[in-house]
Amino acid sequence: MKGSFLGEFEEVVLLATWVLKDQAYANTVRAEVEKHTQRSINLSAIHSALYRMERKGFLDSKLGEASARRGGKAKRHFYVSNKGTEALNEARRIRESFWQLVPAAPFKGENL
Amino acid sequence: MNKPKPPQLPLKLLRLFCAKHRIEELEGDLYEEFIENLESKDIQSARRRYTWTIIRSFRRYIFEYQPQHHKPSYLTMMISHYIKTALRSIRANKTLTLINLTGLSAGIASSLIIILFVADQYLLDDFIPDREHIVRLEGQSDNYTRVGFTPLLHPGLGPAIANMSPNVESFTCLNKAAINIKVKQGKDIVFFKESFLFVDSSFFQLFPFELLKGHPDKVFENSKSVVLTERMAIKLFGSEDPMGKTVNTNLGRSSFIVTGILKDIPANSSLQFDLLSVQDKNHSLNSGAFGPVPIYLKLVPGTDPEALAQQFSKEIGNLTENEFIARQQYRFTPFDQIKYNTGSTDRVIPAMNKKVIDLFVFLAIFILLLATINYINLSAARALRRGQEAGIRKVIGAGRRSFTMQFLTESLLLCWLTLPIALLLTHACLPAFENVLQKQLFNTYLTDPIFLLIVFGLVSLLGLAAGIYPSVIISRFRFTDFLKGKIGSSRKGNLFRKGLVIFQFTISIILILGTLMVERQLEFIQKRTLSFQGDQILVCNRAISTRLTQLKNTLAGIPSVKSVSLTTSPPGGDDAYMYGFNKTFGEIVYWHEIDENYTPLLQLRMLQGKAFDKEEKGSLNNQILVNETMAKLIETSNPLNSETPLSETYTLLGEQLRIRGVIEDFHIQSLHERIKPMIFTYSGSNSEAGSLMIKITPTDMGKTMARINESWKEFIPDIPLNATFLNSRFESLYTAEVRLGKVFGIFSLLAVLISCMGLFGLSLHVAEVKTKEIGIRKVLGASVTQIMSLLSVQTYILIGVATLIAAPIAWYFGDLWLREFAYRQNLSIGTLILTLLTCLTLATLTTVWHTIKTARVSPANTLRNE
Repeated sequence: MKGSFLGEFEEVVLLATWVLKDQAYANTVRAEVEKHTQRSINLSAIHSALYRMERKGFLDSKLGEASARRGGKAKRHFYVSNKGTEALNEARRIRESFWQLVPAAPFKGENL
Repeated sequence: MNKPKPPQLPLKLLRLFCAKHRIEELEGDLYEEFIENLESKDIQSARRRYTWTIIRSFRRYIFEYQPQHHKPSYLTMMISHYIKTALRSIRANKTLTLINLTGLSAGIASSLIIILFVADQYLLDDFIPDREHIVRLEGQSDNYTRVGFTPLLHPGLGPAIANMSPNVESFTCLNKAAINIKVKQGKDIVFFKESFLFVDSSFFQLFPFELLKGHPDKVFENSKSVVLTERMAIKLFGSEDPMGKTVNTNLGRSSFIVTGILKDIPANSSLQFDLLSVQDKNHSLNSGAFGPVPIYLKLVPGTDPEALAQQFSKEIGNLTENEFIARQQYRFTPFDQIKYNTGSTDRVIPAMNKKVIDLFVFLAIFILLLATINYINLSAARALRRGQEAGIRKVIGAGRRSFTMQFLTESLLLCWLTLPIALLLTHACLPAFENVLQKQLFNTYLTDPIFLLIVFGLVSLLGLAAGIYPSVIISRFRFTDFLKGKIGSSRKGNLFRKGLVIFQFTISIILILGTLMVERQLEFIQKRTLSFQGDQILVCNRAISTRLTQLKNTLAGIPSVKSVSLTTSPPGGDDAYMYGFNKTFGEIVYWHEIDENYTPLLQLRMLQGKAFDKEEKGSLNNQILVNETMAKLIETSNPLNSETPLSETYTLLGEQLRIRGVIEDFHIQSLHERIKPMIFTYSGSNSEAGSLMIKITPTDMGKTMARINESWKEFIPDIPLNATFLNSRFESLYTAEVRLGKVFGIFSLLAVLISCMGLFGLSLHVAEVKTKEIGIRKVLGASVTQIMSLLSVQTYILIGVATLIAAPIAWYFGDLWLREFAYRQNLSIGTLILTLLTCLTLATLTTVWHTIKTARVSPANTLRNE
C-alpha cells in the first residue's frame, strides 16, 4: 500500500520516538536521532517529520504540560501508533529478507 | 539574572504565518532549544541558530491551518467571493467587458511594442566590453561653425593623439563604403556590391568581434588582407574554404586575400559590415589631400575625455603644418551617445533621433492612458448602476474596505484576462512594425521570463490603478438612497468623467493633427520638387571613367531617351559636389559641375542671362551660372561696389569668373536644408562629373531600360548599373518622415478607436440613466429629434472643448518638429476644422444607434415599472 513505506529519515525518527516512550517530543527526539546517527539535524526537520507521520497515522500525539524551561509553553508528546509499529516491522522485514540474500550473491569481481 | 531573549522578529514572523493550533508547541520547542544552546554555546550563536531554525521552519506543517481557526479561512472565503462576483459582473455586462477588453489589450499591446523597440535601442551594443571607454573624435573648424562638429576627420589624427597622450589605449578609423567586388566562382566571375569596413589593425582591441578563423593580432599583418563574415564567405565562395582566396575590387583595381572569418555580426551591433579590411597606413598629417574618416579611440579607464580633447586642441598646432587641421577644435562623443547623435553622423553608426524615441514613449503612455481612462470611466458609470447591490451589501454589514477589495479584484482580473490577448496582438503586429520602422528586433521577448514577469507586474499595477477610482466612488455613496431606488450621480463625479472624455479626445485630436501635419509636410515637399518630372528622369550610380562622355552620346542616340546630362550633382542627394568658405562673400559657397543639358533636362528657369550652350564651347571655361540665392548674396555683399554687381568678374575657385546667368532656386538637397549659394561651372575635360541623368519617355520603360543597360555594359563593364528614378531618390531623403507619418497614423487610428469605444460605452450609460427623464419628456410632447439632441449635445460640446485644447498643443509640437525643415508648412485652420468635423462625425456614428433607440422607446414602457 502506498504511504505505508517509511523514508530513511522517517524510520529513524519513528524509532527514536519508540525508544523514548513517554518522553518523546521534538527536542528529545532530535537529541536521540543525533546521538544515534552522529549527524547534526535542524529542529524544523524533526518537526516536519513528526507532523507528517502524525498525518499519515504512524504517530499519535497529545498535548503535555508546560514548564518554565519552555517559556511557559506546552509540549506535544508523540507515541508510535499501531500503524507505525506495523510500518517499522515491515521496514525491518524487507531489509532482513534482503540481507539474507546478500552473502549468497557474489560481489563484483569475486570468484566463487 | 536577566534571562537573554531569543530574537523577536523571526518569532513574530512565525506567529504571523503559523497555524494557530500549532504555534504554542513549536514556540516551546524552539525556546527550549534556545536555552540549551545558551548553556553550551555563546549567546550570538544561539540566537543565530534560533533564527535559522525559524527560517527553515517555513514548511508545510506550519501552514496546516484548521477550519475552526478563523482568520485565514475567512480571508480565502472572501477572496473567492470577490472573484466570483467579479466574474459575474464581467459576464453580466458583455458589451462593456468587450469594450474594456479590446481597449485595454490594444493599449497594452501597443505600449508593449513600443517598449520593445525602445528597449532594443537601449540594449544596442551591450555585448561590447568596456564600451564606456570608447569615444569618437570630432572636430570643428572655425570657418564651418555653422556646419558644427564633424566626425569625418584626417586619418592621421588617430596616430597623432595616441602619440600625444598615454591615456589613449588604442584607436581605429572606421570607414564604411559600398564597393563593387568580383570573385571567381568555379569558372564564372561574379559581381557583388557589398559593404566594406576599412579599419586600423587595432580594430579588434576596441571591438572584439569573434573570429572563427584567424587570430585578431595577425589577420591584418598584410595590408591587402580582408576578413569576411561567415555569411559573406558563403555568399562569395559557397561551400569552398574561403581562407587564402582572392576578392577583387574596383577600388584602385586592388585585390584582397581572405585571412580570417568572423562570426556573423550580432543584430544588436550598431556596426554592421560584411567585409573588414585595413586602411592604408600613410597618415601624414601634413598632407592636404585626404579622405576624411571617423576615428574611434579607447581611453584608459579614469581618463577625463574633456581635458584630453582640450589638450589635443591646443597641441595639434605643433604636430602639423596643415593650417586647416591645426585650427580645428576637437571633442569626444561617448560611444553610447553616438547612436543618438543625429547632428554629426559618420556613415558607420546610424543615428536615431532621441526625440523620436521620446515621442514613441509618449505615444505608448498616451495610448495606455486612453485605454485606462476608458476602463475607469465605464466602470465608474456602471458602479452607479450597481448602487443597489452595494446598498444591500452594506446593510448586511460590508465595510468600505470590502468594496475597495471587490473593485480591485474585478479590475485585476480583467487586466489579467487582457494580458494573453495583448501578448498575442503584440506578436501578430510586430512584423508590421518592424517593416514600417525598417528595424529588426533582436531581443527574444516571448521567451524571456524576466520580461514576462515585468510585464505581468506592470499590468497588475495598471489593474490596481484603474480599480481605485470606481471603488472609491462607490464606497462613498449614501446607501440608503440607493435602497430607496434613487440612482443619483454626484455633480463632482460627472465633472470628473467629462474631464476624462475631454482628455481622451484631446489626445486623439493631437495625434490626428500630428498625422495630418506630417502628411501635409510630405505633400508640400513633393510639390516643391514636382517640377523636375522625377518619374521620367533616371539617375545612374556615380562612376569614374574616361568613357562617360562617349556613353552619354550613345545614350542620347536611343530614340526613347529625350536627353542625357553628365554632372557632379543630380538633385536629391549628397553627391560629389564641393564646397568651401569664400572670403570674398563671407559665406560657404557650393560648387557643382553641370553640362549644357542640365538646366533644360530639369526644366530649370533662367531668371537672367543664358544657360550653357554647347555651340559656343570655347568661351565657356571662365563663365559660371549662379543660383538665385548666390545672386542675392552677390548683390547684397557687393564686394566691388559696382552698380551692376552681377556683371562683374569675381575670383572664385582661384580663377577669374564671369557670371553668365542666374538660375531660379531649386532643391538639390533635401528640404531639411536651406538652399545654399551655389555656382555651376561647365564640366570640362578633366571633370569630376560622374553621374548621368537620363530623361526618358514614359512609354515602354522596360525596353528603354534594357537598351540603357546594354550601352552601360559596353562602356563601363567594371561597375554594374544601378539606376534610380529621381523622385525615389528624393523620397529616400525623407524615409524618417514617412515612417514617422505611418507610426503616427497607426497610433492616431488606435487612439480614435479607443476613444470612440469609450464614448459608445458612456452613451450607453447616459441613455440608461436618463430613461425615465426621456419618458416624461415624451409624454409632455418632446419629439424624437429633440430627445436626440438632448442626448448628444453634451458629447459635441466635449469634443469642441477637446479641439480647443488640442490645437495649440499640436501646433506647438508640430512647429518644433517642422524646425528641422528649412522649408515647411504648419497647420492651417482648414486642417483643424477638418479634424474637428471628422471627430464629430465619428462621435455621431458611435452614439447614433443608441440615441435613436433610446429616443424612440415608447414612454409607456419606461414609466410603467415604478
